[in-house]
Amino acid sequence: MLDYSALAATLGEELLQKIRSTRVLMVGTGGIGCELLKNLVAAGFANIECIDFDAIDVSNLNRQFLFRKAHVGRPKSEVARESALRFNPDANIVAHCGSIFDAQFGTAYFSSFGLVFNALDNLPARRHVNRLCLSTNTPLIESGTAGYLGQVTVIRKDATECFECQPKPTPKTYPVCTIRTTPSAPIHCIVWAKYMFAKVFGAVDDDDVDDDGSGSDEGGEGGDEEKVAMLQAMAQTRKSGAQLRAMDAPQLFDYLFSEQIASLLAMDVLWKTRTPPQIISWAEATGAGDKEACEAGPSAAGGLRSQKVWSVAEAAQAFAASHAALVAQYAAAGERPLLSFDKDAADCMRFVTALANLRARCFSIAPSSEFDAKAMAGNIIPAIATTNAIAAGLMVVEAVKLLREAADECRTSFIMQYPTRGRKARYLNAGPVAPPNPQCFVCQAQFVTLAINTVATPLSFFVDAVLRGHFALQEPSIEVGSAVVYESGEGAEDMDDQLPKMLDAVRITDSAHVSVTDYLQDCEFTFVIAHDPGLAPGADESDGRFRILRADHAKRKREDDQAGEAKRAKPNEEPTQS
Amino acid sequence: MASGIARGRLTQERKRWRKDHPHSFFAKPRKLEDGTLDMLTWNCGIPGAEGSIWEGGVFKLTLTFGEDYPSKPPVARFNPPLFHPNVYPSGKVCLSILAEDKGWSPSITIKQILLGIQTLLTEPNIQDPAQEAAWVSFRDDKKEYERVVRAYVERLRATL
Repeated sequence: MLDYSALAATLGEELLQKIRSTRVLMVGTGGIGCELLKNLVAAGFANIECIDFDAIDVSNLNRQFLFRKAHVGRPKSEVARESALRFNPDANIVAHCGSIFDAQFGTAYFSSFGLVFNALDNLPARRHVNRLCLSTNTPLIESGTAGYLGQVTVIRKDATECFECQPKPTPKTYPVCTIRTTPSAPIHCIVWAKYMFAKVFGAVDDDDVDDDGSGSDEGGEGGDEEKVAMLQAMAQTRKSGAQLRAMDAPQLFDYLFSEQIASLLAMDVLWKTRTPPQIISWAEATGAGDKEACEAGPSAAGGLRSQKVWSVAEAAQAFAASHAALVAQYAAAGERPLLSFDKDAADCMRFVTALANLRARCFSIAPSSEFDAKAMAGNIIPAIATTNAIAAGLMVVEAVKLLREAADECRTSFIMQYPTRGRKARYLNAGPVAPPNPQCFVCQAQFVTLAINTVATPLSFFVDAVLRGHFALQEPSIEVGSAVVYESGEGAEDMDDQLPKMLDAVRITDSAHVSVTDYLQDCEFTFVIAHDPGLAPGADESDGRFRILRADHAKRKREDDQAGEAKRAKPNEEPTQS
Repeated sequence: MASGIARGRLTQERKRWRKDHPHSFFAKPRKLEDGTLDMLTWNCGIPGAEGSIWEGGVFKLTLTFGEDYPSKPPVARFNPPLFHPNVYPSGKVCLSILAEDKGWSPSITIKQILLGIQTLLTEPNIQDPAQEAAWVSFRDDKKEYERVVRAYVERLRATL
C-alpha cells in the first residue's frame, strides 16, 4: 500500500491531490514505460491509461522489470498494469493493447488527459502523438534513450519546441555500389551479408535487385568510368538464387570470396584510390595453419562467446555449420521454402555474421563479433535499463513541475555517456526548453511553399512521399478550391483512381493553394505550389523530386498578405495626392 | 473558388459526416469529370422512415451550397422530383430550416438537414404547398395519396 502521508509531507497536500486526480496517458509500456509506470504509481498518480500494441518477449526481461518469465507472450500494457497495481492497489489504471494510430485514440481521447507521456521507440508514433497533443493543447513529456544516451523534454503548444521543430535523422541507407563492390565499414558488410542470405534462402527476386541496385546509385562518389566498372563487375559474376542454393558450402564460399573478389580486383579503376581486396579461398581458410581452431570451432575462451571476434578459420567453420543448418531448414520448409532474416534465429545470425566477417577480411575492414553484428543487422541500439530508469525519473520530475504550474521551470535533460568537461563534470545536463521554431510546419507554420514538377509527378507521389512520408500524415484529404482531389481514411470516398494522374490533371498546378487536412491528427495546412520543371521525375531519391521553399506561420502570412495588398493599393492613391 | 469560410465549413461537415452519420443515409460531394469531388454539390440519399408509407425507398437529392454558405442555406432538390406536398415540381424542397428568412441558422448541420427532410416526408406541412397534385391529393384523399406514394416506392425498389 502506498504511503500517502509521506508523499503529502514531501509534495504538500494540494499538489498531491492534483497528482492523484489528474488523468495521465502514457504511450508505450516497454523499456522506459515500465520504469515510468512504476514511478507514476509511486509518486501518487492514480488515474493512468497506458497503450502498447506489443506482446512481451523473452528479450525484454533484462530491463522491463514489470514483466517476468511467466508473462512472455502476454500484452505488455496489461501485464504492466497488473504489476503496477501491486505497488498501489488504489490506482485506477486502464490498459489498452492496441496501436496509437487507431482512430479510437483520436483528439477526443487525447483531450481527456491532463498530461501525456511518450515512452516510445519509433519516430512515426512520436510524431503522431506530438500532433495529437498539439491539436488538443495537452502538455507532452517526451523521452528517448539509446544505449547510454537519453533525453527528456517537455512540449507545450506555442510555448516550447515541438517534437518536429528540429528535423530528425532518418534511418540510413547505403548506396548499392558501396555494398556490392566497395565496402568500407562493417555495416556495409552486414548489409551485404543480409542481402546474400535473402538471395540464397529468402524471397529476393534474383535479377531484379541487381538491376534496381545499379539504378539508384545516387551516393556513388566515383565518376562514370568507375560506375561502368562496378556494373561490369556485378554483371560478370551474377548468379541466380537457385544457382547459389545448388552449391555446397565450399563452392559457395569460393564463389563469394574468391571468384567475386577476383572479378572486382580485375577492375583496376576501382582500386586507384582504394585498398584492393584480398581473396580468401575455402582451402586457405580451412587450411593446415588454422586446423586446430577449425576443429575446435568458435571458442568461448576469453569472455562471452557472442562477443568474441572470429578468426578466418572460425568464420569459415561457422559459415559451413550455419549453411548446413539453413539448407536443412530450407528443405524442411516444404512448398514455399523461403526463409526470412531473423536476428534472433541462431543459424540465421551465425550465417550472416560469418559472411559479413569474411567479406570484412577481404576488404581489410575490422570484423565484428556476433553480438555487434546482431546489433547492426537488427538495427538495434542495445538498451540499458539504468538509462531508461533515469529518463523515467526525469519525466516524473517534469510532470510534477507542470502540475504545480511551474511550466517555466521545465527543463530539457540530457543523459550522457561521458561527463561534460570543465570544473563541474556532469553526466546529467539540463537546459532551458527551446522555444518553437517559427519554420516548423507542424506547430507553427501552416503555409508551406512546395516546389515540385506538377506535369511529371503523379498524385501518388505527392500523397505517399510528400504527405505521408515527409509530413508524416496518416489520413490526408486534399482540397484545391472547392474540389476534393483526394481523401483517405475511415468513411472516405475511394479515390485511388486519382493516384496515377499527374498533379496538373488534378488541379495541383503552379501557384495553386492546396489544403491538406488530416482528420485523424486534426491538423491542417496549406501548400502553395511552385511548379519546377527542373525537378527530375525519374529520380529515385524522393528528396530530389520536391523541395520545401519556405514555411510560414498562418498569422504572419495573413499579415504579409495584408501588407502586400496595402503596398499594391498605394500606387493608385498617389496620383490623387499629387 | 469557394470562399475560405464556405470551404472550411464544408470540410468540417464532410469530416463530421465521415465520422458519424445516420444509418442508410448517404451524403458525399459530387464526382466531377476529372475525378475530383465538388464540395459545393453533394449527392445525398434519404431512406423512408420505418413504419411510414415511404419505408423501403431511398430518395436521392442534391444539396447545392453557395459561396455565401453557411450564412445562407443550401438548396435541396430531389432528383427525380418527388410526389409530396412540400416538394416543388422541380424537385426543390420547401422546408422552414432551409429558408434563409425562416428557420435557417448557420449552425444547422448537413445531418440535421437530411434528418429534417426525412421527417418532412412523413409529416407534410399543409400550410406550405409546393406542388398542386400531391397537395390536393393529401388534403382531399389521403387513401389515394398513400396509394400513389406506396406505388412509387415499389417502383423505386424494383429499379434498385
